[in-house]
Amino acid sequence: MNLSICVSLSLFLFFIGLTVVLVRKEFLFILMGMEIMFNGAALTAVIGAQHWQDPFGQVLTLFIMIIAGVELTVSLLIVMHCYRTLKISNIDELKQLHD
Amino acid sequence: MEIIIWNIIFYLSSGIVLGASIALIFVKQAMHGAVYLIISLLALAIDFYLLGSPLLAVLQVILYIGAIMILYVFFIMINPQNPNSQIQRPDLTLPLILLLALVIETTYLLLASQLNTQAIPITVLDPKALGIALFGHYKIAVEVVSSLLLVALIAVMYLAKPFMPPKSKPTLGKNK
Amino acid sequence: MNSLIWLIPGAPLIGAGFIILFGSLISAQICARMAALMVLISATLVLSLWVELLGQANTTVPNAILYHQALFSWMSIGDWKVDLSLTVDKISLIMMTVASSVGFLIHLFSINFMKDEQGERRYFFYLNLFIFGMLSFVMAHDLILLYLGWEVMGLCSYALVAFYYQKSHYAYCGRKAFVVTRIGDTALAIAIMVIFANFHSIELPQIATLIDAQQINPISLTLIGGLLIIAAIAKSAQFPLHVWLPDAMTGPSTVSALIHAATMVTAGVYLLIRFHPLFDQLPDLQLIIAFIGCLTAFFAASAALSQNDLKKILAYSTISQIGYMFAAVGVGAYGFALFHLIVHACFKALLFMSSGVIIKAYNEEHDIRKMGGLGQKMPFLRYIYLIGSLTLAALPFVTASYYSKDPIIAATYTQDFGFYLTALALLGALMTGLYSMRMYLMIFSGTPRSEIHPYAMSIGMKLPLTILAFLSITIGFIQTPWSWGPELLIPWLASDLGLPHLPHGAIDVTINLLGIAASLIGIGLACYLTPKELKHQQGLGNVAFLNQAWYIDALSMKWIVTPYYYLCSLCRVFIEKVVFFHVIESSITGMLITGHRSLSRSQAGLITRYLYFICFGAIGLLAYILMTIYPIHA
Repeated sequence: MNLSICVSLSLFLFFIGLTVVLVRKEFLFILMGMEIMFNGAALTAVIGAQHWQDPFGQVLTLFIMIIAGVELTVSLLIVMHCYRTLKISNIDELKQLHD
Repeated sequence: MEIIIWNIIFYLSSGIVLGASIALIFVKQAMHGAVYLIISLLALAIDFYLLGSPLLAVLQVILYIGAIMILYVFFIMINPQNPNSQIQRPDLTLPLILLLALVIETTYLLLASQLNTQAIPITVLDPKALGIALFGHYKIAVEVVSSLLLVALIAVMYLAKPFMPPKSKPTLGKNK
Repeated sequence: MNSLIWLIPGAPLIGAGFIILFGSLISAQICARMAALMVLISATLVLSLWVELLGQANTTVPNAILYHQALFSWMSIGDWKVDLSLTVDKISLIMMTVASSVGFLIHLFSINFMKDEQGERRYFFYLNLFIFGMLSFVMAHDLILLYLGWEVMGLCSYALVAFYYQKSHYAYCGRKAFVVTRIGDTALAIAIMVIFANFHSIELPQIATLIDAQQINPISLTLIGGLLIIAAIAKSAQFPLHVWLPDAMTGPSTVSALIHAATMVTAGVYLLIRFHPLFDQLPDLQLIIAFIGCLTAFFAASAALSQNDLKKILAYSTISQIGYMFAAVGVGAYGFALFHLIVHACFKALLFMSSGVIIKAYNEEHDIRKMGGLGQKMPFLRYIYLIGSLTLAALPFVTASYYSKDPIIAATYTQDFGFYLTALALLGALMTGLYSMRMYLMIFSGTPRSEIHPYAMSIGMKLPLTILAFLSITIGFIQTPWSWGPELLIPWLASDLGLPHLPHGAIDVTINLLGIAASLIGIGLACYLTPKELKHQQGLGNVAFLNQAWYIDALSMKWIVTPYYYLCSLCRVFIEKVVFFHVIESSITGMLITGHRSLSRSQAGLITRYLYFICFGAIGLLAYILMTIYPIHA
């Protein structure tokens, strides 16, 4: 359990989340991928807090959690609009702005 | 001896985090994905605890799993998968190239930073210190985040309005 | 008293601001009265300055600043700053008196004259603004404020000449006045820059002392002098640049009285007098000024001989009279230039205002050949106009113009080539008598040649005319030749402007007698020629060469304006169309179109594509960080 392993773990987590976001096309999975990316970043902050023995890293993690929650509630409702109003569940079909 | 046990638990939970996350790439059903994500976040909570942040571990369980993921699950339950949505095979070349480039670059960065490979001596960070930092140094940020929550609340109420059932007026005897 | 100096130009500015901001809330008549009241405040303050000054012992300190008030600082760059400050000395006090008093009388006249005209508030706004411009011009302590006043006057002149802008010809005349005077404005602006480059100061008293110190390169001095002469010529409508003034008569007659007779056109004379230490050192330029002045006096008088438009006669006579003032400046008789300026302001404002009434009485008819017989219908106007015309003709011993103009003619003899200058001036004086009496006779004597609508003048119109007529007669007696009467003005001004050189003995008497003779012969000729012209329908009015003012307008149109226009067309075709439109514009638009097409393709509205861009950005950022860690060694 050393620093490099911990940082690699958070990086792996982040890249797995990014892969999910880039590869999956369904709204729900993309949101899940973003959650994973958030958690990867939060893990880094926790590691930093431990490394420097400083609670400020934990504060950052807390903020990440809250903002992830905020982001998720709003985006879930938008996804709901996509389902109900636009009748789509795939991100490539969401091209109302496309000319 | 104790440290070895903690290390084993850490590696195990980290493996669960990664495995459950990788599973997200492949699962078909949204509900399965939600369950995998819950597993991943639970394992991550263990990691948080082992990295000396017990409060965050608890908050991870309460906030993330207890609130956010439950929201997910409810969402999936009230929105059955749209059967009409045909999933065509997406073109994965560009995303994979981008990912590869990012991974290579990050690896170089990681190698260049020459992180300490010695074991970290874990000391538990007091939740009291977290509270003092939060409501002392970061009190403005807390205010900003709380107003962000308020804004999100209003946004959600507005966005959810079309899904509300129409208010039935008390019409006596008439069927609308 | 000193603390109220700012109110002299300030009051008309306040009036103008009030009219433009709140004028629509109150009736036009109240606007008009308020405008007149504001100028009355200025005039009263100026008169109280006189009272205070005459109570003191006569100051004989050279170039004494009587009053000075610094209001605030406009700008400051390093240790150099421009103050907005007002100065009153003897020269500017005279100009202020003319501008504010005559200005007030014209305002008073306008209240009734402009009643129920369209755009009455606009008229009084510009009139008030103009008074502000003139007063700040004459009271300026430094050249920046002087230039501000100069430009405000030009703007108001343009706006008021084109007052009836609905008629395209009138709007054209306004533009012409603006563009021609703009030549002078530009020259003045360049002159100010050259002055600043050489003197490192823009304050007028300091410049005067520096010029007296004689440490400035004479070439620069000549350049400054030349530019100032061009500015004065354009503003005062002197010989090559006079073409705008006859066309500027399209404005209301009161505007002509105020701007194109009493005040603005004399601003050029004032400018030259203001810089008299400069011209005292440059005799060549003085000769040029004198020559331009005499030539203009002669030329404009000859052109006025055969004009048939009433207001154009007055316009050319204004040009001619200002020519005399220029001649006086050119021979160093600055005091007499100012004296003639005062006299001219009085009688020319009188003539212009009366001409407005005459034109209204003949139902907007400008042609004096179609007038006549107004004497019986409007006797008051007749006597007023007679006084004005006789003063213009410089009837000896009675009228003020005799006392101001004849010394100028005498003084021209002392300059180099004095004989020719004097001859031109005397011929001009003869023709002045001729055209002024021809104008009077054709309007008032004989039988009406078209219908007369008697115009009832109210007391508010008669009073200014009476005051001006009274002044036209009496103001000459403040400065009489050969010390047979009071001599007040020139000795009083001597501390600032020096005493003019006048010829002595027999030459002086001869020239004076010749001047008297020229005026009388002119008047006599008019009495003889005008009835004949009316009888035969043939006479002075038909001389095309004079009627077209020596064809100078047409020639400048042909040889200056038209080639310039062709040059502009050439530029338009070659530079604008070919270079700008085809080369530069098409290449720029081509680049822009290509660029924005590629950009709009990237902004496709597809979320995944934005995601890829974010990834690209992250890759680039990481690459940059990596490059700082692993620097590429060449």
